[in-house]
Amino acid sequence: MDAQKTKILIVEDDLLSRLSLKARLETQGEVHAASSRQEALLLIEKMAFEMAFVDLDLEAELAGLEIVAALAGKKTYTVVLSGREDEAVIEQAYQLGCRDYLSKPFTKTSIELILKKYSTAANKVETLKKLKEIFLTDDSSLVKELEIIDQALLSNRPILITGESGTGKTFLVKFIHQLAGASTPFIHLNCAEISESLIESELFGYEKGAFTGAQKNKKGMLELANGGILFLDEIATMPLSIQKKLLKAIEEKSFFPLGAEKMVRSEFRLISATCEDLKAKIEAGEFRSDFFFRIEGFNVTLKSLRERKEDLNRLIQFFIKKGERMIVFDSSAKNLMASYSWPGNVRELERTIEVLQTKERGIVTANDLAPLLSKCLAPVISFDLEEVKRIGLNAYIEKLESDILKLALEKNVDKVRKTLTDLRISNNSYYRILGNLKNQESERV
Amino acid sequence: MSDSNEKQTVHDINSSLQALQGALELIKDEWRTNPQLVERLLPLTVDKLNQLQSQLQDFRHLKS
Repeated sequence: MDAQKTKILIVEDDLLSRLSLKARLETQGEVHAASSRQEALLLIEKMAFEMAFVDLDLEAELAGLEIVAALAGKKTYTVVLSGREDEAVIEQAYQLGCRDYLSKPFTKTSIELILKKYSTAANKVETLKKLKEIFLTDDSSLVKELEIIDQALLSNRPILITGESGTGKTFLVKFIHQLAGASTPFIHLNCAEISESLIESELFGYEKGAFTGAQKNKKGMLELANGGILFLDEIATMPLSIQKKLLKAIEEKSFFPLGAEKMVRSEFRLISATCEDLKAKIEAGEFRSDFFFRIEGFNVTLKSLRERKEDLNRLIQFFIKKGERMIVFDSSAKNLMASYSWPGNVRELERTIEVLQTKERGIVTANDLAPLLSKCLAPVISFDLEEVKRIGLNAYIEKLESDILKLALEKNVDKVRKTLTDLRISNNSYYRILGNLKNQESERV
Repeated sequence: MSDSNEKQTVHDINSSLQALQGALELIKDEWRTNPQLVERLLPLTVDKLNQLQSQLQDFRHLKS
């Protein structure tokens, strides 16, 4: 909050409360205090206040309501203070335009939270504008999701971001870190890229001699994130045993590194991201429900590119300008881009344009574009009805599954966990299909 | 005891508690750096404490 400019009005008839609040707020701006309705209305007429704290009961019962209404007309961020516990009065105050209602007695923490809220509200237009700019979107439902980030910045509750691969989850988390304080720690762990045996020591750290190969003490990610953000990407792939241990560490804000006798305290903001339906995973017994309730708080869903096609042209122009060479798309290429489903989302669009910018032709046709898109579409396999008739549908489906698994394993350089995530299959399904694949390959030999 | 009397007393007690809470938090934060402010607040805080005592007695009578 700008201490030079913010004009704050306090309307409170109790001398001790007025003095304390005035002293508390003087570090935040230019504070004016009134002890009666008349005094307050005169001040409101004379100057514009950005913020006001108004006691409801002054010399007369509920006299503060008149002041709330007067301030609402001047677009002041008004906070009502009252010892009343009457819901009808609270409702009336909100209807007249108050932004917050503090029940007496309240603590200085409540005042600090209100000041933070005010500050965010004052910057809200700016933050949202930035978010819309970085996501290059005017899509109303996506903008609504991005507005949740504004709210999330007010507290330290966890954030859960859901969206397909390439929709900008990591990008968003980095932006949140910038807004929340770029100098604080930012620890990023992609749960799918690390083996189950390593994930525990990476998260919790270890003491020298805790296990074979632990030649010196190592701080875990939970400890390193103290005071900042711990970002757990692909949270759906977190092993169940680690979920249980992590849940305890998050709840107690402390944990034991492997082999350690001394507890380590760490307070961080947890942000998780996933491309999977966690509720479905809970039902399938592959994700702990208690862990889910601990990692959710502010839930943001990022739309896929095919669900926000109206942003496509804007994104194309942005990525073309980002590259060094200008290219144009003819109508056939434009039609293909518009009808394509973009399974890799914005990331795929960016890569496609990057490749096109290195091609010889400056005018891109559907023929130039199609090979790039079909490459992305490689997992979509065309059906051979004659082959189905020959070997039967079940055998054909088994073969399709095996081909898809083989393709995904090749793409992921044999990383099993990443492949499980990409294909959204369980361990059991994986080993079943792998068995079929091996049988088919041995039959071919 | 009438409902409006009870509501008024609860309101007064909450207001006094607020005044005391605000003052004591400020005294705790400022007694080293701003002793003049603390000197001004202390007698008002004592008065408020006495006022609260009497309000609590009123509430007890209203309830009995």
